[in-house]
Amino acid sequence: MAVMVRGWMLPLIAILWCWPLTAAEEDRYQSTILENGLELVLLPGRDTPVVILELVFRYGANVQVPGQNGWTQLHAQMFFRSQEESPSQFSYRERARELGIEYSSLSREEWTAVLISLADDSLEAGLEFLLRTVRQPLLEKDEIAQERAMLLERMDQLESTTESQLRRAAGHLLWGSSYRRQGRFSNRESLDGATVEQLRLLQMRYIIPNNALLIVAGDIDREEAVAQVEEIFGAWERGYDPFRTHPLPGHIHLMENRDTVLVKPVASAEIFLTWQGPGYLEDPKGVSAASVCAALLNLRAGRFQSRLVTNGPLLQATASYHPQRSIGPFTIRATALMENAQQAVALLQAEIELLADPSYFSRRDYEHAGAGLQVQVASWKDDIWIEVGQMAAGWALAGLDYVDSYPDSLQAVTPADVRKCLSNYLIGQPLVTAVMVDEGTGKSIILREVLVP
Amino acid sequence: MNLRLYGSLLIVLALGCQKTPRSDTTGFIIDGLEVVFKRTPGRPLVAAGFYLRGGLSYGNPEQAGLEPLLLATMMEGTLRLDEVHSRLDALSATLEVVAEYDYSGLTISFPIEHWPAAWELLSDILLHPRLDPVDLERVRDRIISSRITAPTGPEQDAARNANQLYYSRHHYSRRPWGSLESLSRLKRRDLVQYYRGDVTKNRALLVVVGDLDLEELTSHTRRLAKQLPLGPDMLPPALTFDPGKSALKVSRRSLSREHITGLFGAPRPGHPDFPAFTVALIMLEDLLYDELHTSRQLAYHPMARAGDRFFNYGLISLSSARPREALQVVFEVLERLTVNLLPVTVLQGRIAVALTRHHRRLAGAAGARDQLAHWKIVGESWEQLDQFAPELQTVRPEQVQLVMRKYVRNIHFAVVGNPRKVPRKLLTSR
Repeated sequence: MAVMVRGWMLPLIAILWCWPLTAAEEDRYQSTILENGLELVLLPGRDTPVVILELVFRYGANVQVPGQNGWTQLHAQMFFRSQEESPSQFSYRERARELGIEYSSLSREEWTAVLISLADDSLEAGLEFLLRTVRQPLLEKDEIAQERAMLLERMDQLESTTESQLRRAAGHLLWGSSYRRQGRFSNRESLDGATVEQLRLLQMRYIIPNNALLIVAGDIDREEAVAQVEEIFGAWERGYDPFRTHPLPGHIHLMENRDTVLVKPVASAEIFLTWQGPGYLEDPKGVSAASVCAALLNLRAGRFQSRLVTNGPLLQATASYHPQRSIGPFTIRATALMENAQQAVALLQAEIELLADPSYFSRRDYEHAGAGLQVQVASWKDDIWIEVGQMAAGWALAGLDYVDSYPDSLQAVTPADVRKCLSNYLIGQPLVTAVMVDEGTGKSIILREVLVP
Repeated sequence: MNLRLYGSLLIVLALGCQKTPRSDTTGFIIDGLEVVFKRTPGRPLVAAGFYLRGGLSYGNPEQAGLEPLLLATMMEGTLRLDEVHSRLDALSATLEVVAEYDYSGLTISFPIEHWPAAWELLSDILLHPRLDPVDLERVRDRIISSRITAPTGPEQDAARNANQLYYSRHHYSRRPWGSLESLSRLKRRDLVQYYRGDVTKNRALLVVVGDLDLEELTSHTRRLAKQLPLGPDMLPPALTFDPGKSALKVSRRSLSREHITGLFGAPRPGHPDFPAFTVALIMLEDLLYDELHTSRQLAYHPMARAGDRFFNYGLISLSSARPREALQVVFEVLERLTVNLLPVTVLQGRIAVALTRHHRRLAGAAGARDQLAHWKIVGESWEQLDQFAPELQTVRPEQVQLVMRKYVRNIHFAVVGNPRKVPRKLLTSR
């Protein structure tokens, strides 16, 4: 359990942390909230002589309104261009090189993060660098145009793979007109509309301390780290709650089955079944249950894998659930020999209906799936880079309490919760089926007739 | 003192006193089986790997891909255990096949509370595989679908073509998972014969990372080693490889931009030049990004990386709608790094980045296992993995210049795109 404290308690905490062993010492990490609302996590890493800093904001593609597709990604790239104190990207990069910093940014559906790593004795300089990175981008017109061109190039590269074409096709069907709030790139034209003023608006609205979590991880001295964060980030001014002034609209619900067949020169049939699964805001328990559902379907000796893969027409099938605040997609990705494509789709869809049988998963299945998920959490904690990323994503989804309680919430999932999740979100629910096959198969494959009505 | 100078001093001081984790790794041989063990006190996960040395240099080229196919089929069941899958589920264990250019193997990760049950399962798979014909067909189809015929993008095609061009006189021109032809003609009897004659302890390396008792590990390993057959001595690998003069292969395709990959020679891990080469490529990638992305918007993300083979390679890759201009800049940057000495302060930042990346690769039990195996088989020795961080910190500008001159030459380029946009003369000039 993490320790939650307010800013005025920091000096006291700093003193307590000087003692050889405090209650906090037994915890994996410590957390606090600065007076300006910035949440801080200290995550010591025992063996790594490196400091990792991740600053994550609760905004991503989900804030994009029509005509803004790709803007949050563009904005995240602009962090690494000119700064007030580094008036060209060269000087910014040079400063990073002097400090030996590796940096990157990532903007996903519901969060945007900047990650830097550097030598363990350069924490203070790293914190200053990170704050300047997110707080002072100049967002100049020429540089926006340059980054836009580079992003379009990246978009071309992504579109050139058949896997991304399949995912995009399924994504468009699953989310309809709100796909812009899920996909980072789905509309080239909208990137052209990104102006200096609009990116500054994103900057002003969302890049504020009370919409952020800072994780300081690695080989750190807790007392020193908290003092330096307080000194460097403490003066960063709080902003208005962006989601109070600009509440997020809900997603468009999928109301009917949709399907698509992509004809490409592929050797095996690629199958994508996806549903609108639970979102944390509406169904927090469903989020845990959906993760367990995916683990149950992935059990190598479980009924699903045994019938469809080991003794069935599929070469592989993987279930995944991507938790989000509002509607998380639940997906089954499968591959079959081309000649088995029709049979594979039909059996997959029929098997989903069979999940309604209460005895489909055995008690042993639940034990194995639960244990497997706990080991997955342990494996995240075994690699501090992965742990930092998972913590950032978990915080963006539902806060640090969610991060803390995640293993327990998985353990608490009962067979009844799983059945409820399956019935609410998968069995008989609107489904998107996207299939990529060769030309010959594409002419004959039928998806609609085998779909659930 | 201005801020930037202060920053430089900070990093120099930081590097001067950067800690090197103490070595907690030991290597030993039990009954002819070589073992590397890294103890990780308090860690909840164990990662182990059973590797067979040789890779593409071992065995019959007509049977390329046999070894990974055999290992993947072994995972499906044993003579004593019908259901390996349910055991893996019960042990929360992850079992995977790795197929590299110089080795292949089975890796396993599991929570420490399932020691030694998970170990017994791995041993059973290695000693008593069922090699069922039905399993074989299913595994073969899966490998062909995921590794051989899976569609690739133009970037991957350029990288593959460059590999074939650079290693055209070497077995690395083949693929570790084999080809459609070689995999399709393999029969069960081929697998059985190979298993009996070639899965031998003198080819094998066992790497274990976890909070295990050394004596207990030794005792379990001895039981495995005693039952593994001893094969003929491994032939030492050839000492040199000559890729020949620079070369170019252009594959015509109608695309919005050209995809370019160039391969050149590189030292392998543990070689005295490896630390300087690592830093040199970080510097090269930085400069390429400055010039191609930031200054001229000619390429989104140009890369310069070192490979991971015994006869190693370095790589430059980029995608550009204006390849002539972009490649002109690439060659100018290469020339600059070859002719000019880097300022020490500039170098120190790149060394810090190299150290960070090194620690990133070692993170977690599985990362440590993979690196130990890699440095033992592909590199000079696993012991030198511990020396890499301190060696990086002593790299001097002269060494960076030297490795640029020594290795970044005879570049073999592959381009996917419009042949008319390719500066042929330039690409074969270095």
